[in-house]
Amino acid sequence: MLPNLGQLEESILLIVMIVDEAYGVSVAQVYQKKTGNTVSIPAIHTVLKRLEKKGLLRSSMGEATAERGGRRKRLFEATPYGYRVISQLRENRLKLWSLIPKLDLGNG
Amino acid sequence: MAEEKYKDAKMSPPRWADRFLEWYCAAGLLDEIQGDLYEAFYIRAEQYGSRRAKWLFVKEVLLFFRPSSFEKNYPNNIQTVPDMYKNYFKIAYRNLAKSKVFSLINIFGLAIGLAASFLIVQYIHFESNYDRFHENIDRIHRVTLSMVRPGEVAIAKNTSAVNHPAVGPALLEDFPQVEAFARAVTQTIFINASSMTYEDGTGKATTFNEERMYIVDPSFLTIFSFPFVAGNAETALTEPQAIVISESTAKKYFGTEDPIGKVMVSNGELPLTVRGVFKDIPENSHIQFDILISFLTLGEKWGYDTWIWPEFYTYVLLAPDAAPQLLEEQFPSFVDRYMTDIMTEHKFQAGMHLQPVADIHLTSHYQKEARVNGSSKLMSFLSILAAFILFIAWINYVNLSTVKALDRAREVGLRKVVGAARSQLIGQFLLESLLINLFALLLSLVMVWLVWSFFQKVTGKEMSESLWSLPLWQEPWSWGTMIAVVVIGALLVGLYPAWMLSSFRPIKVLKGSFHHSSTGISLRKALVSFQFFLTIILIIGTVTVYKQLSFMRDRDLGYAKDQLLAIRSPAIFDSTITQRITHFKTGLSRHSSIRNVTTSTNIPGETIFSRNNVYRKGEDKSMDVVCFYLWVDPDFIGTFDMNIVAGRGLQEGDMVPSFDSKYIKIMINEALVDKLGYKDNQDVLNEIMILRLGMNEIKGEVIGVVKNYHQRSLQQAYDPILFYYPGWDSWKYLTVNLRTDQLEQTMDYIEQQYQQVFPGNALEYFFVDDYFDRQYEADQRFGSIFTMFTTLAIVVSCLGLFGLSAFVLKQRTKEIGIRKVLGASIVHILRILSQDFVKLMSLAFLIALPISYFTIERWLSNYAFHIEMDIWLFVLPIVLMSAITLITVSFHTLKAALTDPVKSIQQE
Repeated sequence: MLPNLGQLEESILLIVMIVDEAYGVSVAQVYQKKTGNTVSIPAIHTVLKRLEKKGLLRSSMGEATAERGGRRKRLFEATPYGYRVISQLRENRLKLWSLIPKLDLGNG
Repeated sequence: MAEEKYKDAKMSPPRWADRFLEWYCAAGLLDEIQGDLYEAFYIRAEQYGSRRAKWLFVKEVLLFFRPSSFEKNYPNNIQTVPDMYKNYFKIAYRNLAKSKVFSLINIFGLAIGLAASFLIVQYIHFESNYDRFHENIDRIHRVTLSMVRPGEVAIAKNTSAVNHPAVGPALLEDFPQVEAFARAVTQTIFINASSMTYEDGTGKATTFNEERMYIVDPSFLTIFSFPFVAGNAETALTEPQAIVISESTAKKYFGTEDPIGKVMVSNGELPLTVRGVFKDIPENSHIQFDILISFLTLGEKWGYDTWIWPEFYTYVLLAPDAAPQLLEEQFPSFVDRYMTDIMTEHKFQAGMHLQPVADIHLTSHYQKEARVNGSSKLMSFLSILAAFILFIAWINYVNLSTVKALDRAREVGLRKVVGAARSQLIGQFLLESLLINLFALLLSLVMVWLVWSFFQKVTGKEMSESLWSLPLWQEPWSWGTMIAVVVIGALLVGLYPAWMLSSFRPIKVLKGSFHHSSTGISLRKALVSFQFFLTIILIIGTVTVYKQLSFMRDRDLGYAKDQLLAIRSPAIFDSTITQRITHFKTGLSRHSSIRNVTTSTNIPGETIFSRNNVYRKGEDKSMDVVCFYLWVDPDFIGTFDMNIVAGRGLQEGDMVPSFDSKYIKIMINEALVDKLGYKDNQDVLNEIMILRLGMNEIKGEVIGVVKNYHQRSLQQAYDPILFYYPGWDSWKYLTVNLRTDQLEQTMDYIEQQYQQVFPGNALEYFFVDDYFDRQYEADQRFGSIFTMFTTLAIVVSCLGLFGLSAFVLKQRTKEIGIRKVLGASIVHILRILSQDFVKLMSLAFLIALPISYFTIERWLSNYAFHIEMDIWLFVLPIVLMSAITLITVSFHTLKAALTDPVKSIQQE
């Protein structure tokens, strides 16, 4: 059974996989850049924690920087289970896509 | 350089919002939350300018203001793996095994507490479920009767459980809500004694005196559902001279033969046919009987117009949807309809009430109850007792765990260092507490099982054959409650030690400078005082109950109760009975061991059957007083060894020749002298009283005053009694005053005489003192139950003290060593060490004294004759408690005080 993932959750999971150093601010920035939508830091935190709770992400504390007022980052990375889930999701979706008649995927 | 950039006031986030964030945010989360917000702030400041960035910062600080930000730990940080639980169990086991005394005291104490409460709960459950086995129990009510004189209110004293025989039929006639009625009346109101005889085919007769016998309407068997083993309950009593009998009665008369259709003869004259056999009436029935006789034996529609003979239990079965209150509201007009004439003639107001039969056992204490009922007061009292014992056991656990916590400080420190969160530690200790409580639960079940039959004996109730067949176990709530008590108890007592243990600071603990910590001392002191307080109250209570009981047993009752043998008057007799009794009396007095013989309607130890009014001649009738009429012969005073304080006793010549006599000689007792308003016993001599005899008001001349004696238990004040000597047969008892040294021979002689004079009757006798003391059965039972549970409470709290003092002393070993080196004597050390406990105990006494004083005062006021509350009532418990405490504490103290100081100082 795949865990139930919302759209925001899915996007953020993907972003964590893309970004080298995934933490609240970096994820928020990438999200904004890639989708054009803004998202608040508290919202990101919520989603990251939720994903971690579902076992798709794991976290550890990173180093501190000056612009953070000397505060450390909580860095996230996807777990193997996270990767498995996301590829499964993709496959399922592709299967559905392929069932749509007269849709030329090549032309987007 | 960069640092400076971030310190620029214009370019930094709003201070107040930042502070607010720091205030609410858990320390562990500040890094990521504040860090991210700062970082985002600077990025946004570059992008959108500082105003927008500040605005967003404030907004997000507010958005972060949510429960998840207050949590001390990052939610996913604690990942308690199964291995960890295994470790908890292992450590719990090791700890239990390591300090065996501690574990034993804890588990044993808790088990006793739980077992005591189980027993009490079972007892209460049994007591509050009387009569529930009847199918229609919710619809069955008893109609009670109150008779109130002008200016009085209806209370238990003037309300009786019995009613007039016409009430039932009239209720059925008048109210559609009443589906059926049944009357039950004891056979003793028709005859003084009753025997049953069965003659089998060979002419061999079996005769027994039967007491538990009622005359009932046929509907009695259908309204109630007493289970039948033979015959049909619906038709069994629908004919005259039909009876149904209990299984064991059937066995007694017929052995293995089929009882149905057999004929038994009552009092040698009335043949009765057995039409059914019912299962022996269980203990939890408010009415007990062996034989039921059909009401039709008395006649068709018997008593349907008798409105002045309140001796009949009247039960009604209401329609399923009938509201008892609505029916009861119509009773006043019902009473007026039928009883107006009688009420005006006798100047009283009657009232009737519906009483659910299920409530009778615990709440009904009216006149003429079918049997002595239980008391809801006792039930609440026992619940309190159960709570006390449980509390004491729980306090032990808390105390011992907090002292023992010091031993485990290192473990906690180490766990914390390797990363255990506080919540994990709390979880661990709660788990341990739960384990100990579960052990205790198992042990307590074993204990309950072991003492079950003993407990049934103490309570005098045969609740069930085996513990597990109790109906209590079939109720899901009982299991739920049991588990809830154990789990909640475990959490309750585990929480404080867990909280305390988990609060240890690893650095302090691991440095080893922790042994003199005062953590938990004040709570421990409070709990120990509370424990003392409960125990003291219980001890004072027990001493009082014990003293009151022995006071009642030993008090001079005003007659020689130890040497009196009472014989029930024969059931089978003819017109020659008076001569026969005289013959029997003279026959007995010829024996050298027999001093005196008398006949009377009642003997001490029971309520006198006949009650009526009397007033002084020349005064208004409204001045009359209620008193008891006791019919005696001239030998009564001598046989019972009572005293005449004024005038003379009754003589042969004072005999009242017949029911129509208009002028008789009477004796009265001091209580009645007082009630009639005479100052002195001499004043009443030769005065004329007006009393009722049969249907007439007649004159009675007082010839003597009898010294007060206890007719009933010491709970009652002296009854006012009027004595006279009737010339017609009315005896219920023959009482023999005998020397008890050659009892067996004397008894043989009496038996032989009896058979000679009253052939065909079974001799039934008993000792008057036993009969009298029977009244104290409930008190005795109360005393035994109370003593039993108090002992348990004391044992449990001693266990606690024992354990506690052991641990406290362990911590002070070094101190004792140093004191000894410096020259302290053993006595001195003992005093120092016991001092703490003595202080706590004194405090407990100060609080317990007033409370127990008032409780005892209230309890004693239930007894018309009771012990005086003297100082010893309180001093004795103090001495007892101190002795117990000091012995318990000194066991360890002495050991500590005697240890070679070299050893104790060398430690560590």
